[in-house]
Amino acid sequence: MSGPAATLSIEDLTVQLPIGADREHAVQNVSFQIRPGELLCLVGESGSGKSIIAQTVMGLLPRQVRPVGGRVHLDGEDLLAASPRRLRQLRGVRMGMIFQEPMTALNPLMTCGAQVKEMLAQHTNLSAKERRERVLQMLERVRLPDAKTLQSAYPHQISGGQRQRVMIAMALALAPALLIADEPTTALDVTTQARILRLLRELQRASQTAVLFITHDLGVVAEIADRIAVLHRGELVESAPARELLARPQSAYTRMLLDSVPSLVPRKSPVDERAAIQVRTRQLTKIFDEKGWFRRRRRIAAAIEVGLELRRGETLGIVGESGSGKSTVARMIAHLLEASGGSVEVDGAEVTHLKGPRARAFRRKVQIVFQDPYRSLNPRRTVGSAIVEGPRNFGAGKEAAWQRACELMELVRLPPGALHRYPDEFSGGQRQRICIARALAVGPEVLIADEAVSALDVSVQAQILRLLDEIQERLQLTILFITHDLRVAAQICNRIAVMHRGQIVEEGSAASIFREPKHEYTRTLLAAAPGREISFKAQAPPGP
Amino acid sequence: MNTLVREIELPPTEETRSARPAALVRAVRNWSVRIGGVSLALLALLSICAPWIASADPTLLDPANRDLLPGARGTVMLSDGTTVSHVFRMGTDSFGRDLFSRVLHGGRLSLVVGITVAALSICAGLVLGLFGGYLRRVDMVLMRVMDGLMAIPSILLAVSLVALWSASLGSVIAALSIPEVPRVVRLVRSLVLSIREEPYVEAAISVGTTTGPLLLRHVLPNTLAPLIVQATYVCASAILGESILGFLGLGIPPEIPTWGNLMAEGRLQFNLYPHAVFFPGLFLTITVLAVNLLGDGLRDTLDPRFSRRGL
Repeated sequence: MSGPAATLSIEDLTVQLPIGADREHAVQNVSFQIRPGELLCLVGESGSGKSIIAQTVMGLLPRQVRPVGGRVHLDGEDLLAASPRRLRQLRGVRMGMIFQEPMTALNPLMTCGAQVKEMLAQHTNLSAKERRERVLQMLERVRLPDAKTLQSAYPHQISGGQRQRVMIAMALALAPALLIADEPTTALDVTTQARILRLLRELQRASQTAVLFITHDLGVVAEIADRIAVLHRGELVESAPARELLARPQSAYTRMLLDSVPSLVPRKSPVDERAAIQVRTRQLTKIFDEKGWFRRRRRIAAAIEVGLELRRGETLGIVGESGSGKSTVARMIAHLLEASGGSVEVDGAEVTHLKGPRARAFRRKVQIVFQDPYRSLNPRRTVGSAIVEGPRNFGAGKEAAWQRACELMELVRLPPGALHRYPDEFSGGQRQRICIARALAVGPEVLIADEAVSALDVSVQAQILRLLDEIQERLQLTILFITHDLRVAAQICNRIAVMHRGQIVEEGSAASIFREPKHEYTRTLLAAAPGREISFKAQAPPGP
Repeated sequence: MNTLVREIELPPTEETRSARPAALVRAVRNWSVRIGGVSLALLALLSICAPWIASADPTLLDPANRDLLPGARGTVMLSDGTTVSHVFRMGTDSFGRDLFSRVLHGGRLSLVVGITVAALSICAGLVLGLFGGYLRRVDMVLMRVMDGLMAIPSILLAVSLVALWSASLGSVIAALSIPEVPRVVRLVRSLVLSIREEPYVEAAISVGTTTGPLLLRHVLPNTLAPLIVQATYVCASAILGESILGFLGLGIPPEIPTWGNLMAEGRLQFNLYPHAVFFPGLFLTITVLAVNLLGDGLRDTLDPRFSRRGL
C-alpha cells in the first residue's frame, strides 16, 4: 500500500461476546486502515458490531466484552496493550469522539463553554486566559451563531444541532489525529444533519484528521465517505473507496443493502380523482396548554388549521421534521388525542368529538401502527392475545378471533405458531409485522402508519414497505403514512403533504412535490436529503 | 481496487429470535436472590417447625431455671407432668422460660406480621395507585391524602394507631400497614403514569379496549416486577416495626413471644444476661438482612431499570 502511514490500523480484530449472546464473536477478523485526512464509513445494520469496533478503539468496551485477537494501532501505538491511564490520556488528545445523542454526552449541569474549557484544562498547560480564548475560537470554528453568549448556555437551552456542534468543538479542541463519530447525525433532523455533515467534512479536510464514521444510513455514507467498510454480523464483507463500492458493489450483501435504500424518485401516481373521499380534516387544530400553579402558562400550537383529504385506496404521506406536528395530526384522526378546534370526517360523518360507545365503534374504521416496535407490544402478553384483543372487544367469539389471527399472521408472513410466543422473542421487523396484524384484526378501512418503518434497518424497512403495498392492494386500504424520510415517502405515497411548524406548507402528488417543489421549506428539505446525487435504484416492486 | 474480504450469503429475511433467559431464571441465577431466599426459607422452616425443634413450652414459667446461660442443663416439666432433662441452647429468661423455644416461636409471629403487612399494603396501594395514576380526577384528592399520611413519621403513626385500638396481632398488622400504603401508592402511581404513555397502551385503546380491561390486562401486569421488590422492603420494615412496637411495650401482648417482646423483657437485665437480647436480636437482623438481600437481587433481575450493576 502506498501513501502516508495509516493513523488507525486495525488488523484481524476479534472481539468476544459474553456467553449467552446471539453469537460468539461481536467482531471477527476485521481489518482496515484509515489514513490522515481520510474519512472511512463503517456501515452495517443494527447488531453488525460497528459500535463494538469504535468502543474497542476507544478502550470503552463493556467489561463482559473483550478483544481476544488482532491488533489496533493508533499512530503506531498498540491500543489493546495500553493501560487504562494511557487510554484516558489518548482519548481527547489523540482521539476525539462524537456520539449519537449529544444531550446525554454533555454534562447537563455545566455550561457548554465550561465543558470545552475543562477538556483544555485537563490535557494542556494553557493559562486561564488562553483557555478562554481557545474556547471562543473553537465554538466559532464549528459555526455556532453568537459563540460568546452560547458558551454560557446550558446544554438544554440550545438545539440538538447546536449541541452536536459543541460536541464537535470538544472533540476537535486538541486537534486529535483520529475522530470517532458514532451515528453523530442519527438523532437530528434532515436539514440539521446536512449542515452538520458539511461542517464535519470541512473541518476534517482542513485539519487532515482521520475519521472513523459509523452509520447505518447509506445516504449519509454516499454524502461524505472517502472509503466504505461494510460490516455484517461482525464480519467485514467489503471495503473499498466510496465511489467504487457504491457503483460496483462486489458482495451480494452490499448489493442487497444498496438495493434496499429507497430511491428518491416517486413511484406512484395519484389515485383516481373520482374515488370517494374517506377522511377529511377541516381546520384541524391542536393547542397544548401547559398549566402550572406557579409557572407561567405556555401554549404550544402543535397543529394549526390542518386540512387534509384522503381518497379511498390511496396513500397520503405527511412529511416533516420532528416537532412539525405530523404525529399530532395522525393521533387526532385516530381519536387518540382530542382536537382543540376544527373537525375530522370519516366517510362523511363527523367524528371529532365522539364519546363512549360511538367512539369505540368508530375505532374499527381507523387503526394506527406506531414507530417503536419495541414499545408498541405489551411485553407481558403473547402475540396472539395482542391480535385477538381487538376483535374480542368488538364481540367476536374466541375461536373466530383466533382463526382471524391465524389468517392475519399469514398475511403478514409470520408462522401462525408465533401467536403463542411473547414479543421479546421477535426482531424489530417481525414486531412491526405483528403490529400491522393487530391493527388489521378489527378490519379497518383506514390505516395510519406513524413513522412505522423509521426504527427499522434498511433491508427490513424495504420488506415492510413491500408488505404494506401488498396489504393495501388486497384489502383496498386507505393509508395515511407519517414519515420524516423523503426516500420512504417517495416509494409508498400517491400524494404528499409537507408539514412545517404545525402547518401544511405544500400538498400535491408525489411526483410534483419531488420534481417541482413550490414552497421554500420543501426545497430545503429535498436539498438536505443525504446522498441524493447517488441514484439508489432500489424500489419496492412496481405497483399495479 | 476492491478488497473483497469475505463473501457471505444474503441474510435470511429477518434476524433470529433473542436468547434472553426468562426473568425467573435470571432471578434464580442471582447470588443475592440465592442467599437471601435460602436464608429466608431456612428461617421460615425453623419457625414453622418450632413446636417440634424446640420441645420446651415457650410460655412455661419455671423459677428453678431462671437466668440460665446458653448451653446450660436443667430439667423441665412437660405438659403431662413428667420431668425430663433439657439443654437450654440459648439459656432462659428471668422467668425461667426457654429462650430457644421463645425465639423460634417469635419468628412465626414476626414472619406472619412481615408477610401480611407487605401483602395488605401492596394490595391497598396497588388499587389506589392504579386509579390515581389513571384517573386524573381521583388523583388530586388521593395524592393529597397520601401526602398527609406521609408527613407523619410512620412509627409514630403506628404507635398512635395501636394506642387507639387494643393491642392485638390484628391491630399491630393494621397499624404497620397503613403507614406503608402511601409509599406503595406513590410507586404504583408513578409506574402507571409512565406505562399509560406507552404505545402498547395507546394501541389497546385504539382497538377499542375499555378502561377496566385496559388497567387489568396492560397496566397492572407491568407494575408487578417493581412491586414485588417493594414488597420485600415493606416486609423487612414491618418486621422491624413490629419489634419496635413490642420493645416499646405497645405491640402484641407481652405473654406472646415475639422478637420485640423478648428484647423488651431482656433489656431490664441486659448488663447481667445479654443473651436474652442477643439471640432475638440476631434472628431479627438475619431475617431483615435476608429479606433485603432478596429484594435487592429481585430488583436487579426483575427490574433492570433501577439497577446500576447490569450491563
